[in-house]
Amino acid sequence: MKNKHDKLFYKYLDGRLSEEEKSELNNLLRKDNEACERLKLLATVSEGLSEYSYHPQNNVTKPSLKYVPWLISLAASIVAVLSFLKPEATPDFPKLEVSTPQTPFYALLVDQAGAGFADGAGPDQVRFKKGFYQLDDGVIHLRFSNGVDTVMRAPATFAIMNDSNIRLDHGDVWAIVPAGAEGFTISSPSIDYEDRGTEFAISVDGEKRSSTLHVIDGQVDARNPKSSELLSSVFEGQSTEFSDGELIPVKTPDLSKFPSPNSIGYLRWQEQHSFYTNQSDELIGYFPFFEEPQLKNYSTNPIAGNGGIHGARWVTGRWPGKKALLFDRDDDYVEFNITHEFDELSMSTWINIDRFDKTLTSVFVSNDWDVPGDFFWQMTRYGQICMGYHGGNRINKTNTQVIPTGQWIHLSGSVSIPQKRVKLYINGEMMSYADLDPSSFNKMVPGMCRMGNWHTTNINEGNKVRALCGKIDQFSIWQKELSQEEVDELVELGKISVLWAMSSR
Amino acid sequence: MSDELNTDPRGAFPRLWAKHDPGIRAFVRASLPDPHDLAEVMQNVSVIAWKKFSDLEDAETGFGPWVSVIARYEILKFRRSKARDRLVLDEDVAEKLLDEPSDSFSTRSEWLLCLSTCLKKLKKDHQSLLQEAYASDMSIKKLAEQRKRKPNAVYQTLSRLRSVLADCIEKEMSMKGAQ
Repeated sequence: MKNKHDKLFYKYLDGRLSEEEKSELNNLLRKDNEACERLKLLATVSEGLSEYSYHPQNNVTKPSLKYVPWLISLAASIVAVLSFLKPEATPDFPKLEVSTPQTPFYALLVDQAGAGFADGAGPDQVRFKKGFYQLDDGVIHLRFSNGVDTVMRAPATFAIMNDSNIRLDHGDVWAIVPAGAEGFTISSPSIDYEDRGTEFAISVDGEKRSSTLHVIDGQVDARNPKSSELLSSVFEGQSTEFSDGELIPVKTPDLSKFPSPNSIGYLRWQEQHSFYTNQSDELIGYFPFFEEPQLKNYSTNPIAGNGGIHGARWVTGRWPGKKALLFDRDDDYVEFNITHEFDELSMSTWINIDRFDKTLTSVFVSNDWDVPGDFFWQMTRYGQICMGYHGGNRINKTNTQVIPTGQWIHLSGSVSIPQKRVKLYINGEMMSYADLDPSSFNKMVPGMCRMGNWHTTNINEGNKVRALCGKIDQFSIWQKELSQEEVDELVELGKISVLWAMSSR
Repeated sequence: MSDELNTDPRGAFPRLWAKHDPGIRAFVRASLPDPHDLAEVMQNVSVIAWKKFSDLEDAETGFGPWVSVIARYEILKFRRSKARDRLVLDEDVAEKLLDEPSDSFSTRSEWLLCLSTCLKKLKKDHQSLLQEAYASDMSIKKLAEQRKRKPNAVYQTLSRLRSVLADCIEKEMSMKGAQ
């Protein structure tokens, strides 16, 4: 009888197997090929039932494809967000598995920092359907199916009506509405704010039933929610307050309290400090660029030492409030003395390069380059990057990308003598791979070296000036080779915002 | 290659993904029944497929099997990232399930097509029960309350209906093979 094992298979597919049954299932599948095929068929039936929207009166129809394109484009972000969310409590009786809810959802949580919702007033994992939500902690970034981005900071209470209407009962929201999604409306007590293709911020005070609108770009129409009567059109740079039934222009808007997509990135960055300080001894240099007289190493195994700042000035980094060092003169640098020997070395940095105006530009290079073991990480005039050490011959296999200028990017690279290879990444994507021949010298000893510059006493050197033109706001050094997964995690932890991640990777 | 693929290769991706999504899900589901695991792997698969889509030469006919290869790799990668006690299937059994002949994807697509036919053959009441169980977020417990039945009885009925559908699909496939 071909379906004699179906009961066991359903328990497996529905997550109800006991330990004994797990063993029985494994033994069965190990020895019985027909059982394997039957299980695959039952999995297909179960998944097919989940996927198809089945209406007895209309026969079977294909699932709606409405969400597919943007769902795919956001998938990377969703995976990242999912990792922050705790799974829901297991119900007292297992639900028949429904992997993709068929009820419509209008927005996805694409980014968050420290988000917490009131019981019963949160999303289904990352999906926001029609309904009421209460954000008690953190900041969230939602993307609607029409491409509208909204960022909210706790405390906030709101209801999602559909993909073009939010009712904001209390809280602050920043909205970015792309072309084609005009008409997106945020309803507040007694007034509707209808977008005409723009970027704007709204603050609602639930108790006072008042609201404030700031138009950052474009136009927003304020309307009477009952009659749809146009009360006022507010344009770029203008602000208005609705209170006691009146709309009053506001002269000095305070935009600092509004969350933006980038503010989530900054919150996440602030929380990541513990990630680095909890690393093993392999992390020998962690420089978060706090504004201090020295570039202080916060690693728990700080054998790379602190950096001495010469000339480089403290400026704003990836986010307002985050500090960076600006290198824009030929004598700006940070100097280190790393005397240990290494078989493997990796470095990663968040960097914003203004321009490549020299034959070579240094990220991190040993002084003089006269001793075997000296280390280098530098960029060419053409925006290509290379890493290696004195004594290790490299044979480039691929070098496909050019480093973009004028934007924050994540660069990382690893040199492994045991693995005989050099790997370099831009924003988590491997952009260069080189074979390494360590036969003439098999240790790396950076010694005295400079970040953002290079020093040499060799008067015959043709490319003496290798000063960086740009900013650095984070730097890390490992005595190991970084894996692709680790590089991905570094990018994820430090990404400016989910919008940056979508456009940069 | 179609005009769409020639002029806008990335534009064809959503259409092809939507077309093959149920088959890919079914493939992953057999190895990872937990819905959260399934969702995570599917999301990883979609991102990788999106990134590498331009490498695929014959997208119209090769998309499904190609994504299945990505899915196989992602399932194994996902399993490695999980604690052993969280995994139901042993390593060798999981690999056995994932090692499929090259035409398996089209077989699975055929199964899904037959499922449409077989669903129509069910009684209206059974169709309605399946619809409520699968096309909403309703738990078995709530479904049972609505129907004034015990949860286990509803679960057994749903299990039996799945077996009926599977048997029907096998029959449909054998009839197709005989034609």
